[in-house]
Amino acid sequence: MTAMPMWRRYLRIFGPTVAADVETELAFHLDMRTQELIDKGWSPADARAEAVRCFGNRAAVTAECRGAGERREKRQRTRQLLGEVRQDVIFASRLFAQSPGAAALIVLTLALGIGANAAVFSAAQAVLMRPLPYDRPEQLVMVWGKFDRLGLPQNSLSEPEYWDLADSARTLDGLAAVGGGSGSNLTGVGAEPQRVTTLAATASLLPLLGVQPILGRTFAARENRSGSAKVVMLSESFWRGRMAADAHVLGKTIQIDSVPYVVIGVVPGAFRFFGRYDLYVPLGFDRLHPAPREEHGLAVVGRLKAGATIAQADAELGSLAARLGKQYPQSYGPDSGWGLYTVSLYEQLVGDSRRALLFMLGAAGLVLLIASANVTNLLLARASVRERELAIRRALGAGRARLLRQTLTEGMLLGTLGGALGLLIAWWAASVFRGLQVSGLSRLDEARVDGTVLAFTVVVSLATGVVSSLLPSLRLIGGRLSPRFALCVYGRSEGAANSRMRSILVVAEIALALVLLVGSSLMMRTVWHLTSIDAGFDAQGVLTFQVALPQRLYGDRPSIVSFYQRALDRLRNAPGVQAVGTVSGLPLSAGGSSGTVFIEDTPVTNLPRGQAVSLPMLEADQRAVSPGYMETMRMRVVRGRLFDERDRGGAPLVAIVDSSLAARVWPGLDPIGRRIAVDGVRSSNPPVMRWRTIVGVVEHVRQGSLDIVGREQLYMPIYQRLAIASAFVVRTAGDPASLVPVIRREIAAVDNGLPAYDVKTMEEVVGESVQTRRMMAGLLATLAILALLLAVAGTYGVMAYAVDRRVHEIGVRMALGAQRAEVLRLILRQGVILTAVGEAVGLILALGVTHAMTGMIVGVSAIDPASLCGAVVVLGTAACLAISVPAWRATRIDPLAALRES
Amino acid sequence: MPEPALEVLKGTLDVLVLKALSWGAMHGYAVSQWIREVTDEALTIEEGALYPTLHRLERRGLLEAEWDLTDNNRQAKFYRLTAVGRRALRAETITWGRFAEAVGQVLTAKQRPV
Repeated sequence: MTAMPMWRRYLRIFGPTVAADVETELAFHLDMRTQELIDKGWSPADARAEAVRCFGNRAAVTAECRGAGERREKRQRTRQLLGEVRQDVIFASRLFAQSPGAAALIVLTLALGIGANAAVFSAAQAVLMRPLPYDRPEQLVMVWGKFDRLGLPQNSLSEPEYWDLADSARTLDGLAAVGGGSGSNLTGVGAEPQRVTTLAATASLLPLLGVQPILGRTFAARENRSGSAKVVMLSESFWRGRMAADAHVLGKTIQIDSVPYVVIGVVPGAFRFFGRYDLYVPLGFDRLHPAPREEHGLAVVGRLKAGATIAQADAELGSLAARLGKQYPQSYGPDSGWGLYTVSLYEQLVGDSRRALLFMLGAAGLVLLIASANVTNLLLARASVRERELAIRRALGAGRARLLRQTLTEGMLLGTLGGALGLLIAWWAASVFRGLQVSGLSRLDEARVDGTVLAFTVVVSLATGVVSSLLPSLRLIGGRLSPRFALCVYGRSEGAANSRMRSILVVAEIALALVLLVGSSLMMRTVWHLTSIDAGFDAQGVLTFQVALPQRLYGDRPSIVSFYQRALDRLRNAPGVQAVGTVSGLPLSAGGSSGTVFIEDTPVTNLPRGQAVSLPMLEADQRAVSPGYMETMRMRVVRGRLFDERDRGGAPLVAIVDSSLAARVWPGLDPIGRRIAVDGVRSSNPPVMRWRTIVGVVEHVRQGSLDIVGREQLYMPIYQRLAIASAFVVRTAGDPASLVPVIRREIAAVDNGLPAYDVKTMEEVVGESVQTRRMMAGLLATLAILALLLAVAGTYGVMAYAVDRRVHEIGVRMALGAQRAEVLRLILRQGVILTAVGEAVGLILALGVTHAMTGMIVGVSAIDPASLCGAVVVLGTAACLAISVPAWRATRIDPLAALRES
Repeated sequence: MPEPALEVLKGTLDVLVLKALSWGAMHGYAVSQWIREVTDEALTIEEGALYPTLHRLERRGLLEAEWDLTDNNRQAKFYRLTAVGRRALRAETITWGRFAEAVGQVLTAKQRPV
């Protein structure tokens, strides 16, 4: 539209143009009409009056026309802007098409940087940011007990404590409890017996969390009671997977541990509460006959009353705990450090992973910074070539702002392309995350590229595009674009400022890459350290599996003893088996319990004393083990003997303690022959302790996790302290995995209704316990490698460009007699200085950053010399290789050709 | 002074303007003059009402405008039909013809309603 002649445009300088246009147009009409009437013989005054009369309401017309005009104007302006943007985009695309190699390199670089960020963000978003899938999750808190002096900072609650809370906690609006999740043997669904996971929960759990069953109903309050009819809710995945989504499942009966349960509902598949379970059953609660106050086995969750804070709840629970302590002194000794407190559910679930994930986001950010620096460098190199083009455009009347917009559009276009490619990387990475099964990072299996990740990626892409093209843009349109410059012949020399900026960028890239390399090597050394730590046993060659005996079939002592004896005999004699044993709680996996150990006689005076029985006591891990367990695990004997066939039910009670218990209770003394007790004869008051004589001392074993030494340990023979659920350990000379069919066959031969489950090699068990750290190490290593590649590519790019720019100078030097070696030295020196400065800066940064990693790294110092040196050497070598290519090329310059060319 | 005549509907004015401009670019005053002459001043409208119509049609893209000098050297805004405007005029002409024909048939009907 060629709307306006030039002179009308100038009127615009003086103000609102639409108004002026309308004014002029209407005035013209009135003038013409007046003139027409005058020509017909009217007097000028009358003619004017008649014209105005015929015209009608001038003010209204003016207003209406102005409105229409302004709307048109606005639209036109938008259209013009869009047109310019389109022009810029087309122009930029054409530019990229001219040098597709450079453009592809930039896009790929950005894609790696943006992709890494989007990927880590998708993980962080799934684990940290997505709200918990419950109703008003911010009000949910876990309620824990603690016995600080006994070394129990976070302890489960008992049923009487649950009722105390339900009665008197005013800051809590609702309360629910779950028992520990457990495994059960399921029969009546399919032909084979199956192992299923079961969670026992109070009827209040699902309503409290705001979860609706997708079929049927939740538990009724009366179904909490232990005596009532057995009912069960199925998880959606169990219902779909094992019952073929049977629509008539409600009212059907399934056998859990050989007890019939009636199905009353199906829990939605997304539901999880400290893990996912196949089945949910009511917790057997009975207010009138509650379980003992000392039986701590409930995880309790509550909802804060609207407006109540965690601090208020803690204050109230603190005074409740004090009251209970006075009321039941035998349960909460004054020396125990007993208390009650809350932790927000969010904190409970993701608290530990937050720091690690934020750290990974930071690391990904560094990779993006390196990528941007690379892109900036590439664009700077192009900018030198484009200076002339832009100078011409400037001479032809393009404003600086317009040119800036053009170059930034180019940057954003590159960012968008890189982001699109990066999104593919993130999409792939998210599917990798989902498959990792890292139990320490709850909800990582829900990582995906959703709207939030998409929005994050878009913002990061555009920002990266702008940031990495800002410097070259400002350089381009600043200063040197006089029209005179457009026409002069342009040589190959380059501004000092440009090459300085380039050098700074390379130094920054190398420094950041070094930080990541140091961080990742610390993390890898942590994993290496943990897996090579002496845990007190030898995992190699051991296969483990779990067996749980249903109470209904194994209700009495002889049947349990007979099962273990027969199973152990059969396994011991199976082909390929060297040794076999059982333990009530396998090291480095869930399960196993701790309890109070009373000591008959000790010279140590600082141990707490019990209330009911005034004896020194301590909290210790307790395991019931079969003869052969310690041999199978190759635990080391410090003194005395291990358990053997002598230690049966009727024989004198014996125990084995670990080296740390021995050192704590009998420092410097021989524990053999001394006595301890874990229980007394019930119903006698004062209780008569069941003393056990210590027959041996073994080396301490890391039970809970490899990086924590853990509590003192006490072992008892399984026939003197029966456990109905045990882990079997089987040692073989060959590949432990090859024993799987053997153990299944042998267990089935003893009882073909019993599934052997959680079949794993002991090395897998150890591996899973460092899973989270291993994943972090892997992620960090990936990022570090990416950073290394980008930084090296950046160094190469800058050095190659520098040589290219200096062809003429080098040609002159060579013509004047410089030797190849000198040229080589000249170029290498420049590169080595850049690398060295970058590494020096990087070392200083690394010292600051790795300091923040304490807690994530174990067994290595944050200033571990090996990690620091290793990173410096690796990066230095890679950078030198990158430098040597252009340096070598510089020595091949033909002085004659170089001089002729300029 | 012309007789107060038929009230012209707003939509009608659109068609008249489009028709006026179908011969070429004109400024607003010329359009109003043409309408007055062609209709023998039978369709009298307030002359000012023409301008919102012109601006509306311009905004809708049926007209385009350009500032130019008149024969007696004054600045005036000249309007011209766009391709869209020309199409609209054709469509309107057909509609109007059908409408007039239909109304005519009704008014000359011989048959009494049953």
